[in-house]
Amino acid sequence: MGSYWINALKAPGWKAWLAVAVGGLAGTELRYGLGLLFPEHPGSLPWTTLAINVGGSFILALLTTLWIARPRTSFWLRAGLGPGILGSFTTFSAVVFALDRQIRDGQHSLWVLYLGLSLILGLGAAAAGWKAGKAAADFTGGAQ
Amino acid sequence: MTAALLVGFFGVAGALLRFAVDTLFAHRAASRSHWPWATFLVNVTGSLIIGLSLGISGRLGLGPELQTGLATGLAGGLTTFSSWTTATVRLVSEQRFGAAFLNITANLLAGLAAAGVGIVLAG
Repeated sequence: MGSYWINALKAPGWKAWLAVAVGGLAGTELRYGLGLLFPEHPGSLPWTTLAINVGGSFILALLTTLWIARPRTSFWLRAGLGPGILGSFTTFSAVVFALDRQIRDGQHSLWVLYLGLSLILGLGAAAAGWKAGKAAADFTGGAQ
Repeated sequence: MTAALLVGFFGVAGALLRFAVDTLFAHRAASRSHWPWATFLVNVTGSLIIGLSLGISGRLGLGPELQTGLATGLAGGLTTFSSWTTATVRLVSEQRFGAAFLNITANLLAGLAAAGVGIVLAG
């Protein structure tokens, strides 16, 4: 999101960088591990990546609206969870790479289906997370 | 085991690079006419890397572990799907429908082109 909640006036401190590194390790290994548990095969729909991206979109959007309502949440915590874990857990390059391969192989119904599901479910999950986070912030009186 | 270590190492590198780009663009993100340039930049770069990774490790005889490290770790950690969708929803919530549509199409088209260029260059 171009992480717009980063304080534009102050460079992130070492705690934030460390949190991003630890979160990045966890998010990447989790995605790698899920790929080993549920391998994807060329020629069929990449369900594992799709599920990762849809789930990650919901959680990041939810956290984002919660943090807009609670701007005093520690920056290192937001950095570790957002750009750290969720940014690394979800992936854009694998989607594009799979689409490229499907297009080259002439699997037109497959790439249309994968692109459509990624967009509809991914954006739908982000929209649902956005609303859920707002509702949770309102419910707990989270405006500050 | 080697693959898991390489994936972790390159994943951390990708995440830190992405955070550095986020930080560089943070002053723009605060403005009213913000657009997620940082995410666009890392997504296109990571798509190029995943395309390159396919050919390069094979050509240099570096083994499949390094290819997995570059593709799943570096390209996977650098690029992000959740920030892309969340930023799009944010633009929609601000009624900036054109900017939201552009965010979807620009990432997809430039990402596909970059992956294609990477495959051709490395192939």
